[in-house]
Amino acid sequence: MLTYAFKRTLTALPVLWIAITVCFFVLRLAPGGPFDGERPMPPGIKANLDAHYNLDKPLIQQYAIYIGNVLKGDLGPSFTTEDFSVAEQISIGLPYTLILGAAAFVVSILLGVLAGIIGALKRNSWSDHTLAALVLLGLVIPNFLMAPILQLIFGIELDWLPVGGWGDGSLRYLVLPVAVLSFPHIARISRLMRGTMIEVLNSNFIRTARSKGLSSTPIVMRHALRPALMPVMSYLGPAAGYLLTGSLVVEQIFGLPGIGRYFINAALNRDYGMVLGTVIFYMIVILILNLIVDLLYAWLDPRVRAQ
Amino acid sequence: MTKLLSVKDLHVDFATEDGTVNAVRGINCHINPGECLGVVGESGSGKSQTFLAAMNLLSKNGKARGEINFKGQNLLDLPLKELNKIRGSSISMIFQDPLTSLTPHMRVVDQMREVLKFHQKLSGTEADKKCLEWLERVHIPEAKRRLRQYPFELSGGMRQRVMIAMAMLCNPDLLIADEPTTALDVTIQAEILDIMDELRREQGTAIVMITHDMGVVARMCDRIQVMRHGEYVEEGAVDDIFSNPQTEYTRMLLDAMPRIDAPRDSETKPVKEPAKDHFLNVDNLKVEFNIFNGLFARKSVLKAVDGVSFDLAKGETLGIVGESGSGKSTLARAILRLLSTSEGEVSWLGSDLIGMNADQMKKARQDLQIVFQDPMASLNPSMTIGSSIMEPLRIFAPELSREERRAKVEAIMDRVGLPKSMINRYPHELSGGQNQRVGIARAVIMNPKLVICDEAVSALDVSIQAQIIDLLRELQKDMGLSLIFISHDLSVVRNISDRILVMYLGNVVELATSDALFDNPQHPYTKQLISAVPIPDPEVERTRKRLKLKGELSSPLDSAARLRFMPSKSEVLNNAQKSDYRPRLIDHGDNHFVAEHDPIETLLVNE
Amino acid sequence: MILQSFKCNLFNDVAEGEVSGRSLWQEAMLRLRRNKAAMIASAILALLIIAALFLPAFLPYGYEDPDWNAFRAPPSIESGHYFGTDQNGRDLLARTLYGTRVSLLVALVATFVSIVIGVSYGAIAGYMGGRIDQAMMRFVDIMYALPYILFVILLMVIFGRNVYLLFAAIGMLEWLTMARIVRGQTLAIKNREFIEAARASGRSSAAIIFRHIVPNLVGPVVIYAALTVPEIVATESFLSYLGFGVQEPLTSLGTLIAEGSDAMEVLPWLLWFPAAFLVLLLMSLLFIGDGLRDAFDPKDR
Repeated sequence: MLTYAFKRTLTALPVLWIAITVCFFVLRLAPGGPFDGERPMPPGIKANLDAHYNLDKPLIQQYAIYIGNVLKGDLGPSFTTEDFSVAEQISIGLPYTLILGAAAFVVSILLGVLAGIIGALKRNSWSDHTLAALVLLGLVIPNFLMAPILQLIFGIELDWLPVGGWGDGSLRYLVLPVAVLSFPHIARISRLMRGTMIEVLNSNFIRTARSKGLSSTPIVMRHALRPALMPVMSYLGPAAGYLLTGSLVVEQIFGLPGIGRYFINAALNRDYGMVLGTVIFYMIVILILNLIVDLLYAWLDPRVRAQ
Repeated sequence: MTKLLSVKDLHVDFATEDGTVNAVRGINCHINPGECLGVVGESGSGKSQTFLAAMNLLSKNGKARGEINFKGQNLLDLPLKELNKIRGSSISMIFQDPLTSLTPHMRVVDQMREVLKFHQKLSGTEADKKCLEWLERVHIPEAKRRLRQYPFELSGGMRQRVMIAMAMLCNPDLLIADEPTTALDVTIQAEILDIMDELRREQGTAIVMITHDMGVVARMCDRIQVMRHGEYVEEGAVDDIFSNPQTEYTRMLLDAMPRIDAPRDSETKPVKEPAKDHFLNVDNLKVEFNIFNGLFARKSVLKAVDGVSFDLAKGETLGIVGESGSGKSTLARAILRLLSTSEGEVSWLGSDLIGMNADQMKKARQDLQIVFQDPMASLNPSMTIGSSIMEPLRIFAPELSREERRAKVEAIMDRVGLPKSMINRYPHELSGGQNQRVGIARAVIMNPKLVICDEAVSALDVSIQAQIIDLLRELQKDMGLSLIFISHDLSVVRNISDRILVMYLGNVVELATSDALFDNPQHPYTKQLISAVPIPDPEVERTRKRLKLKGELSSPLDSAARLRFMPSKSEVLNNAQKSDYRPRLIDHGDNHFVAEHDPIETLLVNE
Repeated sequence: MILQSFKCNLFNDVAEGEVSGRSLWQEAMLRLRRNKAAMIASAILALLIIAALFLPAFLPYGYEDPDWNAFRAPPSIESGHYFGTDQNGRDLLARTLYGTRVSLLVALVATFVSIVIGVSYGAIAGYMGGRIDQAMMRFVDIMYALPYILFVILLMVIFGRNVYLLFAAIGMLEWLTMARIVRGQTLAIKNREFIEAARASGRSSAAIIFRHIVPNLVGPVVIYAALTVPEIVATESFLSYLGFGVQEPLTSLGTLIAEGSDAMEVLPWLLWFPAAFLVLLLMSLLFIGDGLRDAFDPKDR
């Protein structure tokens, strides 16, 4: 099991390296730089700035310096925010993004799986239909639309929850962002779960379990759940990416100072250091999540474990 | 005698998109304690649905009406909670497909334990002891280790034994077996049937044997209930029904069933010297597959066909038999160059087939055709059957006009017994038998010289099977075809073949004329195969003895497995020599070839 | 299994007299036509498309011309601004229709891009098999695990917010699943016996691919393409919402919603009308996709 995890991590590292390299060169080769503001700078100052940030050196050398620094854990300076290095900024934004993402991830899986099971077991009952309607809402209302709607209802009309900000970091501030972020994933997971659960419940080994006289709780929990979770698992890898995408919007709308906002600002201002730093951070998070998903896979299916 | 279970006026209906289907229409039957009832019928006869209804295991759209009484209770009216006390305890069930009938992610022991826990409140070491005891009673080798294994680590035969052990844990009064051996090889089938027979004698468990195989019925059952189209056809003691069937349908079923002990019914052709005929000569043919387990994993080599030689004369029918993994289908595909060979020669009409270039090969294909096992899968679902049959014409006779092609297709459809009106139909609109006729029409439309039938009748009901075999025979006579007839079913092969080749793990173990092979088999494996096939005649069946050889059918990946019938050799060779050594074929005269082996007495299981 | 054979018999009994058969495709279309939700959704989608294409020509106001008499006007029938106007006095109905047009166009082109890439990639991997297949699919796995949307955003920033680039970028984003599905299907078909039968009758590889494999891929490709369209509409509006997508003077539903939510409390109609269009569009596409899937692959759902 450990060697398996180790092997997966090893295969992930070259991916990370390739992605960083591609990003680095695309950014540098693209027209325009961080100091091409509205007003052209005096050439002397620009040259100084370029020298300070190593932008005057040959590209290959810049790349070597950058990779060397990354390996030491130094993501370099931010070109637009002079007081903080990229690593420092990321560490400031980190808790917000991680807490938000992790909470949404867990909530999506738990509620999605639960709703899917209920839908499959009580097929065509009122609870199934209600859930289906909710799922539909989750699928057709994009998060940037869901956010203002929820803000309007729970924040302004009912005045139950804060419409944004982090406040004192209490749970109240998390409810709406997490709801917006996880809603579409709850919908997708529950749809997936319902479909595969129905399929699994029709399979031969469930018939065997029923013929043994087992009641429905052990049939679902011991026999059907694990195989039915497999497609959900394969959705979770991409879902990590989607969650991150969502967090760009959610941090923006709810005014949370997470990494998504750094990324967007950095992209708009062509702050190379910051863009690369956030991309690296996101990739590491996603790769770790994928690794966890892979391990869960092995737990679910003894055949994977045997390999 | 009080009846154990009685079924009164049972109806089972399924609501489908295309209306209600009445799968079972008013069935009455009963089972006495300790007896074995055979429920026989072809596919769609409702034989399984009757007993799935009794266990409340029908699929969701199914509804059962009527009465099924067990120990004074109507099972159909019983609330699920009460029924669950009976299922798995007083009545248990085993199913056709052992590959999918066990929960894949649970260890054998966990699946067995929960039965004991639920019905007998047993757990811990006590439960484990009982599980182990039952695994031993179904003769699973290394039972203790099996307990900790997952189903995917077990062979099909072992999984079915686990199913039986699990079903027997609570000493049920009734065991319902739904085609329990259909998916298994004959030697494994024989073992499973032996186990079930043994359990019935020792435990007094009544058995319902649901099957399409009259041989299995003759081997196992006291009474028979014949079903057709959801209705009862006839019922009675096994001997009465077999010796004196009352209805046309039962008689037809019995007649259609090929018998391994019956000589071939077509005239025997004199055996020529096929080697001198220069028709088809296969010499030391080898096919190897590289198996990769993942991108970076080490490859392993599977020797699917490992040095097979034989000759075929013009107009002759050669049967090839073997169990799963014997390489018989691979051999067929290799001869037709649908797979690439790693060694050996195939000479066709005197020229080297393997060495032909694309153009020559294309020309040769006109005379070399194949018919596959699964009639549905061998036809393109997006093409009408007319265009499927026409395809060879497009390739080999592009000069024909549309009308001429169509006329040819209609003529061949007529020849294989398909109504011309079906020309624009699609495969999913036809029955299995009709689709197989389409496959045959496609194969013979260019008047080929050789047709290879790869399990061509194995997926069909017996009555259809008989019709297709008759059709093949007629075509052979009319067109002077040579046939290679590949099957796992020895009775069918005996019936149609002039000579028979027996394969075991990629090697030939015996090659002889049909009658010589069955009347005077030489190789222990051939003997075992023949003795394992049940004969649809209860009287004969009772007197037959089954040969039990040591060891299980091993995987073709295991290179030492070829020496299973030569343990004496295996002892003196080291590992490298073992994987290189192939038992030689020895000429016993009269075109009878047998692979070397130890005397059979040393190979038998001591009882 | 048993049920299937029943069904099969039933078909035969019913259709014995007919001369021409029904292909799987035709049967799927029949099933689709019986699916009420999918039919209603198709009607709604057709209405939306017709409105987006032709209605603007009959409107008194263009999508970028300010009406100097009506800034921030609420919806009203008398003024002719049925959906009201925005802060610059532009007619919201015209803008919404125009935005719908852009969203649909992006969806169409990007779906096409994703089909072309996904189908060829998946078909090649599936047909070649072996190590090539494993390597190609490993690449897809890796791409799945990358924060793709970030790269799209970067591209949009670096190369300017070009609509054509947007098409390509989103298409590139969505091809992965298509490739997986096509590869799986190709593998499955390749191992079916009718391919061997075709080879045994001397068919060339090209003929096998085009006559035997491609026609049988159509079903899954159509289903997944239909499910891709709403994904792309959503992605486009997401990017536009963040300011990385379609730019002024062009507009799309995402851009309109972004503008609308800024003014949500004072000019609520600016949010609700484009939002309703987007939701309606996504919902009808979703139902059509589901309907197609159920029609081609009628499982017990």
